[in-house]
Amino acid sequence: MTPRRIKRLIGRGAFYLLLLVIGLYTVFPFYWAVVSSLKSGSALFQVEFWPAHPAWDNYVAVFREQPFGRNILNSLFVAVSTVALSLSLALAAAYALGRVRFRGRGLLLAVILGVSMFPQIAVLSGMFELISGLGLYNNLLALSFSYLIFTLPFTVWVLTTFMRELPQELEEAAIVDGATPFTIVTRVFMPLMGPALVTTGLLAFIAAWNEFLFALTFTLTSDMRTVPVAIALISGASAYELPWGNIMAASVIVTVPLIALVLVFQRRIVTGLTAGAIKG
Amino acid sequence: MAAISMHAVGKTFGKTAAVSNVALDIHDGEFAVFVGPSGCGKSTLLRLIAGLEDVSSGSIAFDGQDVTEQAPSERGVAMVFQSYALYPHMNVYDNMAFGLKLAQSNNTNKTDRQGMDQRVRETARILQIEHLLARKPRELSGGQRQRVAIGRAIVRQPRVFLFDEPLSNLDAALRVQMRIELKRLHRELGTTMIYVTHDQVEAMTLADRIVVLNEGRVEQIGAPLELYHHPRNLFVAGFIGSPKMNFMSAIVTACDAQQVTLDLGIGRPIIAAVADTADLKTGAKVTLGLRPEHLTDTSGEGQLEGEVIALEHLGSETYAYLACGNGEPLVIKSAADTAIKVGQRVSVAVPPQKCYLFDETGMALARRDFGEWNVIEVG
Ligand SMILES: Nc1ncnc2c1ncn2[C@@H]1O[C@H](COP(=O)(O)OP(=O)(O)OP(=O)(O)O)[C@@H](O)[C@H]1O
Ligand SMILES: [Mg+2]
Repeated sequence: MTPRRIKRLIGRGAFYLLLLVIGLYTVFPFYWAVVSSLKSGSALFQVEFWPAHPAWDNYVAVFREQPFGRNILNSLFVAVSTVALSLSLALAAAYALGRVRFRGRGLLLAVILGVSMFPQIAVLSGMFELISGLGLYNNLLALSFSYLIFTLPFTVWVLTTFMRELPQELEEAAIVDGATPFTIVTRVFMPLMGPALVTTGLLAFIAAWNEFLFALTFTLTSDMRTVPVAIALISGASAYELPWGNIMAASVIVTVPLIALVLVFQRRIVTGLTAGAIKG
Repeated sequence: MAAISMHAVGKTFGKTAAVSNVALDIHDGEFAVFVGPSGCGKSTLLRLIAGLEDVSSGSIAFDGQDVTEQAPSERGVAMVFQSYALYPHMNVYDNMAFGLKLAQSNNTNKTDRQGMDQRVRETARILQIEHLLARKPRELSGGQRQRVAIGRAIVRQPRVFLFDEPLSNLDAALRVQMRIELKRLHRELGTTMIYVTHDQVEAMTLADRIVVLNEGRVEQIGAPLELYHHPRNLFVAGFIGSPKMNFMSAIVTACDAQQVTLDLGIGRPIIAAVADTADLKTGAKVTLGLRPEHLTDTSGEGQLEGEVIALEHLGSETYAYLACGNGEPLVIKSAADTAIKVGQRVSVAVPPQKCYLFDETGMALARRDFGEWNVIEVG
C-alpha cells in the first residue's frame, strides 16, 4: 500500500469515528428515554442498557392518571392551527413583501425579524393582558394566537425569500391570463413553493408542539393543557416521588409523531420543482 | 382583433426614460415588429401595450377605446414570453386552459366545459402538440415549450398577440421553422400581432411593418423594404441589412439636378444619385452609405480600392473586408467561388443609384426610386 492510500484510509476511519460519536451523542438521550420508559419500579435506578423485562406499565399509567389523550389532542389542535394560520398569513405577507414594490419594504422585513429577537418572557405579561382582554384565558385559541409571535417571523422571512426567487414572467403570464393576486398566490405560486411550505410548516409545528411557557401561563385546567405542560406537571403518589417512568413514557409518546412527520415529509423537502418553468 | 394607437407614450423608471414620446398606430390585423439594439425599450413598449406596466405619460387606445387604465385581461391581450413562463406544476392541457378557466369562473353564465375542452384540443391540433397534452413543461423540449406558450396565447382568442423575443432561446434551425409557422398562424388567425426582436432578419422576414426603436424613441416605421431602401437616418440604415452598411464621410464637390459628386479623400470621385439636390451645396459635409451587397470587385477601374484583410466564406457568397483609407474596413460581397485572396488589392465599382447619402445631422437625403420595390400598404 502506498503511503497516500494509508493516509486516505486513516482519514476515512477518523471521519466515520466522528460520525459515530456525533450520532451517539444526539441519539443517546432519546434512546435512554425509550429504555427508561420500559422499566418499572426500582429497575429504573439500575444502569441497564437494555431492560431485562420490558413492561408497558408506564404507558398505561400515563393515560390512566391524567387526561393525556385529551392533552395530545389539544397539542395537535394548537400545532395544526398555528401552522395553518402562520402559513396562510405568511404566504400573503410574502407576496406583498417579495413581489410588490413599496416604500419601507426593507424596514418592514427587518422589523418582522426583529420581533423574533424578544425573549418569550419579555412579552409574557403583556400577552397575558391581551389574552384575558380577549376573553381567551384557559382557551386553546389563546395558544394558537400567541404562538404566531414566534412562528410568523421565520415563516414570513423564508417564504418571502423563496417567493422573490420565482420568475417574474411566471407572475406576468398569470396576470395576462386574468389571474388576481389571490389566484396567483394560491394557484401558481403555492404549488411551486411546496418545499418551502413543508419546511417552514414543519418547523412551526415543532415549535408549537414543544412550547411550554405560554401554554403553562394561559391554561388553567388539566383538560386544556398541552403535552409539554401535562408532562411537566405529572406528579407521583407523594410529594417526594418523581414518577420518572411515566414522564419518560409520555415523552416518548409525544416525540414519535414528530419523528414520523419529519420522515414522511422528508421526501417533499426537495427543491427543483421550478425546473422547466423557464427555458432550459 | 384590434387596431392599436399610442399617443405621446412615455415611461420612466426612476430617472431613466425607457420610452419617450412614442406615437404609433398599428393597424388591425397587422404583423408589427419592434426592433432595435439591446436596452432600447422594446420590451418596455410591449409591456406598456400589454398593461403590465403603467404609462408615465400619454395614452393607449385599442380600436379607438382608451385602455390606458385597464388591466391586461381587460384589454384582451395575450403574451408569449422569452422564457415561455409556462406553469411548471400544470400539464400542457392545464397550462392552456388556465386562462379560460379563470375567465369562466368570473363569468356568471357558465360557458360549457365542453366548449373549453374543444378549444384547447383544437388549438393543440393547430400547433401539433396534441400528443403532449398530458406532459409537464419540464418534460418538453425548447421548441415544444414554445409551441405550448403560443398555444396558451391562441386559445384565449385575444384581440392582440404580443411576443417578446419568443424565439431567442431556440437553435437556428428551429428558429427558422417557428418563424414560418408564426407567419402561417398570423395568416390563419388574422389577429393583430406585435413582435419584439433584436434580430433584424426576423424583423425583415416576419413584419408587415417594422418599428425601429433607439434609446426609447421611434426612429422609423415602415414596411421592411421601405426601411431597406429608404432609411430615414444613419441609425436605421446601419441597423437594417446584414452585414451592416458601410459608412464613409465625404465632401460634395459638385451638384447636378439629380446627382452629386463626392470626394472621399481616398480613391476617385464618386457619383451618387439623389432625388433632388436642393438641400445640398458644394462643400457640404455628408456621409455616404454603401451596402456590401451592392459592391462587387471589378476587374476594371473602380472608384474605391483597398487591400483585402479578411474573407468570410458563407458558402453561398463571400464577404471581403478591405482596408480603405484609415476608417473602418469596407465590406463587399463577392461570389462564392471568388478568386480574391487575403493581401490582394481589389478595386470596387460604386453604382450611383445604390448610394445612400446622409447630411451632417445624420438624416437621409431622399433617394431616387428606381422601381425596385413597391410600398405595400397593409390595413
Ligand atoms: N423595471 C425596471 N426598472 C428600471 N429600469 C428598467 C426596468 N425595466 C427596464 N428598464 C430600463 O429601461 C430600458 C429599456 O429596457 P427594455 O427591457 O425595454 O429594453 P429592450 O429593448 O427590451 O432590451 P433587450 O433587447 O435587451 O431585451 C433599459 O435601459 C433598462 O435598463
Ligand atoms: Mg427585452
